[in-house]
Amino acid sequence: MDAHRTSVSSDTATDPTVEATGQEKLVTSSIVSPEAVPQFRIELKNLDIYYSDFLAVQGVSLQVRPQSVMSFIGPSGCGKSTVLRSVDRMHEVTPGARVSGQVLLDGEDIYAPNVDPVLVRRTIGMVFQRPNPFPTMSIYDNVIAGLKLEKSRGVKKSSFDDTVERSLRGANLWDEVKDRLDRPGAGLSGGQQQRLCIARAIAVEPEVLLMDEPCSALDPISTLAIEDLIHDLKNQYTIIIVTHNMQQAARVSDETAFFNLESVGEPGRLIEVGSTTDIFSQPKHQQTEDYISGRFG
Amino acid sequence: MSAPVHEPQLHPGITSERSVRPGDRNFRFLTTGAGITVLIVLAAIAAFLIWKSIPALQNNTGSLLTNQQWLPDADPPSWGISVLIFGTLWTSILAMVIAVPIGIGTALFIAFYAPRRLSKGLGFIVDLLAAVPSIIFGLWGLYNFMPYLVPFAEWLSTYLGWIPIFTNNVDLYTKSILIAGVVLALMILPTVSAISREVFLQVPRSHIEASLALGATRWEMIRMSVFPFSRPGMISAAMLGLGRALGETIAVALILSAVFEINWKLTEPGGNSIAANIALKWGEAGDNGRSALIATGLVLFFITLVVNMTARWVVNRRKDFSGAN
Amino acid sequence: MSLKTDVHLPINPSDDPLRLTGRRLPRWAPAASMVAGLVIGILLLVTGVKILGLTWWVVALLAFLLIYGGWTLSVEGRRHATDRIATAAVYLTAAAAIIPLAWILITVITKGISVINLEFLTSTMRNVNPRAEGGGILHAVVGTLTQVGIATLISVPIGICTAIYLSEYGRGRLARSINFFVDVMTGIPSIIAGMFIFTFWILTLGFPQSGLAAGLALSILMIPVVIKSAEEMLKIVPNELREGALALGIPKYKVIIKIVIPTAISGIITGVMLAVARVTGETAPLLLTTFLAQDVNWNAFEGSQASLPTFIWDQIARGTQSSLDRAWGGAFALIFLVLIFYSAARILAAIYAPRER
Repeated sequence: MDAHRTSVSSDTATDPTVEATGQEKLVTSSIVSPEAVPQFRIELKNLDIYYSDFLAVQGVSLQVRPQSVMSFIGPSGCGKSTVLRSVDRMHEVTPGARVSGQVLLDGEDIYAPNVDPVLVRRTIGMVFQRPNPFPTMSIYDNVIAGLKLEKSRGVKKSSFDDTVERSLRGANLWDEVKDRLDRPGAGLSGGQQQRLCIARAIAVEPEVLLMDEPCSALDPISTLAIEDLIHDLKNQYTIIIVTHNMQQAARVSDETAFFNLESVGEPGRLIEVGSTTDIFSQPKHQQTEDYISGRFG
Repeated sequence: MSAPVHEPQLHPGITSERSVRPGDRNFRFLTTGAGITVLIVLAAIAAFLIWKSIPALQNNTGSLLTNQQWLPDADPPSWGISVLIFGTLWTSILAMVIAVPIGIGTALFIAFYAPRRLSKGLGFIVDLLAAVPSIIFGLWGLYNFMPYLVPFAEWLSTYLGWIPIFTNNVDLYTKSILIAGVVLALMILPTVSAISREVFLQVPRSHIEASLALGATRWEMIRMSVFPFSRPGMISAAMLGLGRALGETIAVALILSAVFEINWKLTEPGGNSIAANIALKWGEAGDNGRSALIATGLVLFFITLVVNMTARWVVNRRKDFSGAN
Repeated sequence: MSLKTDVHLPINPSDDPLRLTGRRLPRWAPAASMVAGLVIGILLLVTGVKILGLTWWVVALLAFLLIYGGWTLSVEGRRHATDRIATAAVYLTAAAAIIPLAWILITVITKGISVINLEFLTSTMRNVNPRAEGGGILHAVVGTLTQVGIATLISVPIGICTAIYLSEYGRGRLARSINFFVDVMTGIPSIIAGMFIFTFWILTLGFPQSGLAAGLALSILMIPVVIKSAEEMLKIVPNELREGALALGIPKYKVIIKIVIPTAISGIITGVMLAVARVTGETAPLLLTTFLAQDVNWNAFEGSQASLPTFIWDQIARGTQSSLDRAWGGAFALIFLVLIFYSAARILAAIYAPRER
């Protein structure tokens, strides 16, 4: 997974080593165009999301730029979390759940037939609404939990040490826990637990970070700490955050997507997407304006 | 000038929780009485059986713990429980060793691998095994199953005979502890599976999603999120299965060939458990014989009690610990 | 340690075409491995060659596991290989649980149904020579129904009343000790219940051996089960229901009888039916209290009475082929009874389940 991180040159037309391995006959990924470096990290194309036969979200198309933060806002039940969960293929974990349409990561459809969801979830990380550190593991073990899956035996402890420190620093948690790394992860405060979950997510070096209402279970001070963290993380990752708190969306995100439901039983839809300043000051749709100004939701 | 003070009239009956209503009082009395009856019955069982076991304990000329004979009606009486305890534990532990992996695997299958629509039906089918009476397990085990297990026992002694418990010195493979153990395993399998299944279904979704979101495969998710959470429950399931195996009478009585000796070798015929011994010897026992049998029964009850209580304690201890869960 | 250098820029997919797919086994891989294993097994069966003395289907299974495991390990790597083998293992354990059940049921049904006919159901074993054919289970069926009926009549009132006490009234030491000892009682080995009734009821108190004695022994086993399940059902009834009724001024005992119990009644009935199913199959306590009878005994209060489990036990002990046939017939009747009760209870529970989950 290290090879790709630095090669961004434009003449990657045909890489002879790839074709020569002969393993390609097992691979049928959809490569858009060998020459173009895609300008969007994540692109949703006409995404319909189903729970068995129930259409929960319809026809979502949007693009997320690299190293930016996009927020999904909208009233509860409009499907914003559902859309988020389909970006890292967590939606299908629910029995009967499925999608149609495309979700492109750097131009590659993650729902293509031969794609391994395990690898997708490794590449696209997620932080959940309620902090969920593994209760039986220490802070240290929590951070490297994802890493240990790939390299379990024979890896020197010291390389893990580096990663742990790097990830905890990245999550702004290092100074608070550096002396008690072997204590249980569940013994921290709510805000600290959430930052631990963020550290755990970035330890596996994902491309994209998804955050599903990460602050809704936290107190205001922890919330601010996480928002500051998002500002820092933006430089390394592409972030999509679902939030029901409009002020948070305004503070934290570069672009905003507004979702809404016509009425109960109807599928949720993407109403409007654009830069955050535009959405909040000059929304194009009446529904957006109504939601922003608090007339419903 | 003071206005007349009205003292609030206390409505009769509101002042105390204990109502003066006869209906309430009688009903409460009735239900409390039922509960106390249960206590009395249990106390009576314990007290009476202890009382009845004393004569045999007192006039036993052999040592209770080490004597390997069963002659309580002889003159002088000589009997010991070592053979019976050995047989009880040996069959039950073998049953547990077989039933626990299969039970946990089945529970995992129903909770995490089977299609959702099928899992309720599958649970019902596995539980159905628990409804089969033990006499039928004995009948089937003896006449239908054993002929298939005997070649397996032969194979064990031929190829793994260098392991002492698998050697067979008599070239007879029927009615052995191995066969009884396997049948017992089938009998306790539904218990282990049902309890494990309940525990697995209680693993919070957030733990499962946390490991999946890190890019774990299904088995990795089970090892990372399910097993650590469920460990007390699985231990409890195993112990409750063990408890059931300890008390099982009829299937063991039918299958084992009731030789009264301590024999470690699994594939050789013979063996005896406390419960099976009682069932087989009660009819012909004299007064002292019955008294001795009662004594062994009490020992069995005690062992079962310890196992069941420990199983409950393991689960409860965990519940207090992680209150947040 | 600096984070600024680790920039995650978008990459050209062709730089790493396996990034999202990894190397995958084709979808038909499990089936192909199974077929391969089967072929190897059948080869052994046909040629009569034995590897390590193992039977052909064991070799087929092992071959499947080895082929599948090796294949996935070389193509997909360690993690997916472990996952796939774990999946195969879990499926195997499920089969190991279900196959014996099917085996038992099929055996009992096929062996028993050939014996069951009207004559079998309406005659007894009186004057029937063990070696001879004929005879029936009428006395056993009568006995089982009587004894289980007596046990139910005793256990259900006591059990439900105790459950009501524990759920509605009991707070404090008495309730806690009753709870504890009910747990103890659920673990009583069935043979001990039989021993107790024999020595206490029959020997000491001098009552004759009888269906009643058997019923008493069975109720010792049944009461704790009824209590536990009834208590659970009562506890599920939401407290708001009780409080709402009490707030209307209805006395507590009426609240319980007219509101709480009817709400929980389907669950309680299910619990009772499960307890009945359990106790119908018990043999050990009956062996010690009613012994064996060969003729119908309509008097539950005196004289030994047959029952289906002891009938089967007795016929097995006789050792002749016709006795064995009769045993299977009895087994069929017994399993029929038990499974009817058990399945009805489970179906009832599923239909009327409180919408808790």
